[in-house]
Amino acid sequence: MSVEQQHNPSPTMDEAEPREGWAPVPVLLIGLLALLLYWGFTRLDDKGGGFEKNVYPPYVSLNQEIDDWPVDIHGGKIKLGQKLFDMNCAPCHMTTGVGNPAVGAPPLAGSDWVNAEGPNRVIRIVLNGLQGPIEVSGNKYGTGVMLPWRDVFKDDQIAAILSYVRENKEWGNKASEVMDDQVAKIRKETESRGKNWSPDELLKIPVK
Amino acid sequence: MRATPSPAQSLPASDEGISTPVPAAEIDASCRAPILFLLVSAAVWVVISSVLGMIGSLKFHAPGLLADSAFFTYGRVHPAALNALVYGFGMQAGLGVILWMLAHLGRTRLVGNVGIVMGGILWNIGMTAGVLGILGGDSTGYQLLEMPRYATFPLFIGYLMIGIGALLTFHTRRERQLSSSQWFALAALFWFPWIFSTAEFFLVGHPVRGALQMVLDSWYVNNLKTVWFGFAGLAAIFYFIPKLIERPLYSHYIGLFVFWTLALFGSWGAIPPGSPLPEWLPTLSIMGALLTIVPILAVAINVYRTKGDCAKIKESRSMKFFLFGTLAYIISGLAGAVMLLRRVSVVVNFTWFLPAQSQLLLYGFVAITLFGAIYHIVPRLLQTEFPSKGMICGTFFLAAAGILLYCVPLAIGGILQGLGMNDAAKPFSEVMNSSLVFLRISTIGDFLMLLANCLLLLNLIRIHVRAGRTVAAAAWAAHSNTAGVRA
Amino acid sequence: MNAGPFVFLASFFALAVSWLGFVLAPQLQLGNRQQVESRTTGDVYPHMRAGMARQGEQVYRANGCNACHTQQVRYKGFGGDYARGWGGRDSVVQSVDEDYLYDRPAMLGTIRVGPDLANIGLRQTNANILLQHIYSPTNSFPHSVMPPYRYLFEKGRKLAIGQKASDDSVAVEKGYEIVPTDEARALAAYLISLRQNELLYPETPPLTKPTNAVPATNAVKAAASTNNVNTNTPAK
Repeated sequence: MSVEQQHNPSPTMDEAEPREGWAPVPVLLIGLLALLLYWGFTRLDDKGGGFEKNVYPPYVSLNQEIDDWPVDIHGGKIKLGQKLFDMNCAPCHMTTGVGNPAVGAPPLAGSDWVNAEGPNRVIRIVLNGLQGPIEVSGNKYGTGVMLPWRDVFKDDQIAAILSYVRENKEWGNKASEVMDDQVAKIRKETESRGKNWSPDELLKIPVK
Repeated sequence: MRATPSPAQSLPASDEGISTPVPAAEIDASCRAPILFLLVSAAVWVVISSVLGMIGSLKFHAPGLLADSAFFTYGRVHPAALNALVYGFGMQAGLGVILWMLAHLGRTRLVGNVGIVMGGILWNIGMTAGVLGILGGDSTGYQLLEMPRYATFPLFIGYLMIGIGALLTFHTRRERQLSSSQWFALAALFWFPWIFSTAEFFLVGHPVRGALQMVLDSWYVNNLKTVWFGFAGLAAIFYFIPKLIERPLYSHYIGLFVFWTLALFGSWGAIPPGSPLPEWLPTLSIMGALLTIVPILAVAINVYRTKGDCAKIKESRSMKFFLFGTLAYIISGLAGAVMLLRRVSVVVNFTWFLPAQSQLLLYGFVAITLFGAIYHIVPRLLQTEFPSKGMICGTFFLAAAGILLYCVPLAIGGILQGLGMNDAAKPFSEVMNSSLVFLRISTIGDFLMLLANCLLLLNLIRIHVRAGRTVAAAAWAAHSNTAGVRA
Repeated sequence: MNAGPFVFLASFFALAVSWLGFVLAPQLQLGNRQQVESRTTGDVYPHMRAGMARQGEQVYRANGCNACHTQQVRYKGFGGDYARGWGGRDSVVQSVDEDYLYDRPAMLGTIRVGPDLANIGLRQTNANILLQHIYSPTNSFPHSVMPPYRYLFEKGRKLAIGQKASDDSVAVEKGYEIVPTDEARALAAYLISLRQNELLYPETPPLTKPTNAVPATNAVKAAASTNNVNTNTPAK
């Protein structure tokens, strides 16, 4: 076999390049495209989470997520109590609750009156005020007069302030929460009193 | 159906030289060195990838296999195999085929040969460093971007050099009418540098925060697979199928329609629902994925109408590759589109279904299509035929059987695995055990694909040997004739 | 419409749209994530991993553990993730973006050949048990396909007859105790640090509501008013 015969010439010497026809795009395809685009956009509306960065499935909107968080009632109340205390009571009792001997305000921090098992006495003090030498946790405080707050605060506000004070761990207080209905009951009972309390009168009233 | 004849392929222009189309043989002669380099390197890498893949696959049957060696632990060998397949073979062969098609469609010689060969060398250096780096423990941890920085940098430079050669070739084209294959090829050339540099910069260079890394990685992988490989493979399919059966592609307009819809919608993020990301990202991804159904159907229509009942299909050996590739493209594409829907994703996400779909795309579509293209191009470059036609058919049947035996069991196994995982009463070990039988069958598929890849490489070696012998023999004959020695 | 530049422009436009939507927009929205306040501890969340856990993250990455394990949990009801105990957060929402804030790289994983590890630090806090599993998975799970990571361990001292192995050894072979290397220890520390169990506002509303809470319907109105005087009947 000669060399020429061994060599296979490529059969492709004059191959034509492929051509392309000119048929139009089928209308059905365009229709499908439109349909899918429409479907896509409606789904984006429903399930896109409004393009918010904090919306995770299965929630579909930020409001839905926020709504699903439980409201911390107790914490809110304590925060409110602190706010009201700082604005109204701290001028005399100090924001730290240590009291101010110069104006005769006894401390609330660690006070045995505050930490009594029940809040009956301290509610009366807030509602109608207090006068007279008072012994708080072994210390005597003589000259102070506390004004009544009956007409300044509503029941839930008094409950919030007293809860803040009684539960305040930073002040060393470990007492229980004060509820609105407790304040309301005592307000009714003392409706006709008209004057402030003295410590001796209060000591006769049971705490709970 | 109107049939406007397309502009004839060789229009002698008024001025000679610049616009005269170059004959095919000359184009092939100009392409020889760079494209052969790219294609043969790619064939080497596909073998490497399937060897590594085989090692990984065998570990599911014998977890103690090579367990004492850190190099071959599954977590390293598997990404190495995937990177070798995607970058070593897929992109290199894809670039080689794109270059060849651009030269031929433009009726011009390949330009920038030296740059292309140097780019190819850089690419292979990067690949070697990358695969060894992953095996050595320098993996970056990002899907399909595991190759470390020192490897991806030469890779990127190499790509740019090859890309410049391709652009110059396109620029000097004599045939001004653009076919849809050229649209795909040019878009692919443009696409990769942007997505690759973005992904590398924001993941490896200057990492973004938190789960944003997943967004970027997912975006990159989707663009690489659906758009880059989609464009490269479709360019080949829309070129070779009409060419082999000597009928025109059914519609240039559908080709452009595929381009636009794939580029616009196939490039979205592909983020599955349930990901730790704000809800709008998966929702957008689902929308984009479903919209890719449109180009897939368009491709199906275009190919089906082109081939019709043509009898010539039987004549060409390479045709099987392209038809199988088209089918794989359609099935994997539809699966990929549907996979992100919530009701489907809840079952198949995180299961073997994902690698099944991915491999069907990467191997069933891209690799097998490029195999067909390689089998068509290389004889023309070397001006020699493959010594054994049987081996070409053998490559096809092994590859097709391999990918089917890989994908189908894993897809079924994945669905069962997903259903099992969602049934909290089933212990996890039971769910995994029940998928083992599917893994075993898929290992057979892995093995067949390995054989197919080896056959491809062997074929390429043999044709080079044959071409070398032919050239040597012709030189000897010329020498003896001129020397006046009796033969 | 056949000029080369037009192809370039078309590709540029298409890729730019995708880039704007999936690279730029998420970066603008999420790129500046900072630590947030945890509603569970009051502390910031998440914490940067320290010391061994941080090194362990690199061991996890280098050995490709995310080739088989995921670190993301889907929301309750979407798949069996929560039901299988892989979640840790008391919320219907599970893994969120902030959970991965300090992960470099964030290895969320794509396939579950093995169980999800997002909250493994809640399920298993004993480093030695984890290391035993890594050394020889088939001891804990007889049919596991997880490879034994023997190269992360080394031979320790030779044990005399009757001598007990030290507490951090994972096995005894041929008279030698097998102890973890520093890499293995770091990996165990990393795994124990993996948890996503703190509540973050507003992404992860808690499932168990405290007893003194009002039903959610009033939530928006209640949160809106600062002088929050509510009815305060203790909800029992």
